[in-house]
Amino acid sequence: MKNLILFALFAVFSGISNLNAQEAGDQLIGLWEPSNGKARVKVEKIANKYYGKIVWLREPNDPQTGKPKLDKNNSDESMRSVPLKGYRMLKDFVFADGEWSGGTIYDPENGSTYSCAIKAKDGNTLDIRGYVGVKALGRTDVWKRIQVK
Amino acid sequence: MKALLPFCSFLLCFFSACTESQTITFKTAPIPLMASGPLFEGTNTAQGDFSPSIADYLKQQGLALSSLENATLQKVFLTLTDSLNSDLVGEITLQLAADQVDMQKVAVLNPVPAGQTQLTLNVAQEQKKIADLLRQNKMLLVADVNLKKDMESDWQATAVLEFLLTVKK
Repeated sequence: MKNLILFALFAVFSGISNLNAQEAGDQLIGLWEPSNGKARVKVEKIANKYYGKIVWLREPNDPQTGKPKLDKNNSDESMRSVPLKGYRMLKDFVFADGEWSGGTIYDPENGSTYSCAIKAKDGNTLDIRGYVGVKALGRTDVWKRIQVK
Repeated sequence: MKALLPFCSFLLCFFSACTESQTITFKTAPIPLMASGPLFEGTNTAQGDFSPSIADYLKQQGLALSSLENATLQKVFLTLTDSLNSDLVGEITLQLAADQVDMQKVAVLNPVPAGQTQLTLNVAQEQKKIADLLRQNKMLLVADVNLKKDMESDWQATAVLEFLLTVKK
């Protein structure tokens, strides 16, 4: 009987902590703006991973063509017609141990993809660290949450 | 011992050359894609999933799953439920993902021709881990659909994917 009670308590406790971890992970969902203010990125959850796509650009049109900006720096020529508005620049993030990791960030300005880790400073501020190989040798940008009215 | 080394290398090269590969086509059944309405102007996410069941398909061809060496996505066909859907869509980008395999962009159509319900997307030249995706129990299709206007209803389509498989004979 004692064992059964202990087991039930353990099951309830682990269920609650899983729920809390999920809720903490879902803090990333929403609309965010990088420090340069050039774009806004909407983060959503698909299956168990987090993805972010560009939903707003300060300068949506390419000054050379006057048409919506495309991913013209992509190393794959066949994908250069993908519009930047709607582009998934954050991909495959998993929440564990208080941070979102295992994902990548794409810089459309040079067509490069970097490993990336995300930490929440508070509910409305993120440290987005992009790096190649070693996390210590990366660069951190601060993103602010945009409140949707 | 030293003299044995070139002989072993020769044997290795000989047997690897004897293992021939062949290519076969694998076409999926139509996979439903949906973005739940109401939808707003701009980019929206439509999703669908399917079980590739590639082991069963290879078995039908008299092959084991272990014979699958490589795979590339060759064609993507999209059928929209009505022409209104295509009139409202500016561009479509398609990605594939799975629990154990990172998402990758595989096809795009920009612009979407107005009034057409049968669309053929342009497939990416650079592809990675397509064989790994096919080995998963469940593959996820994620379509980014850029709408020109708000839409009250759901956005629906079906996708058919055609893969070229390289298998060991």
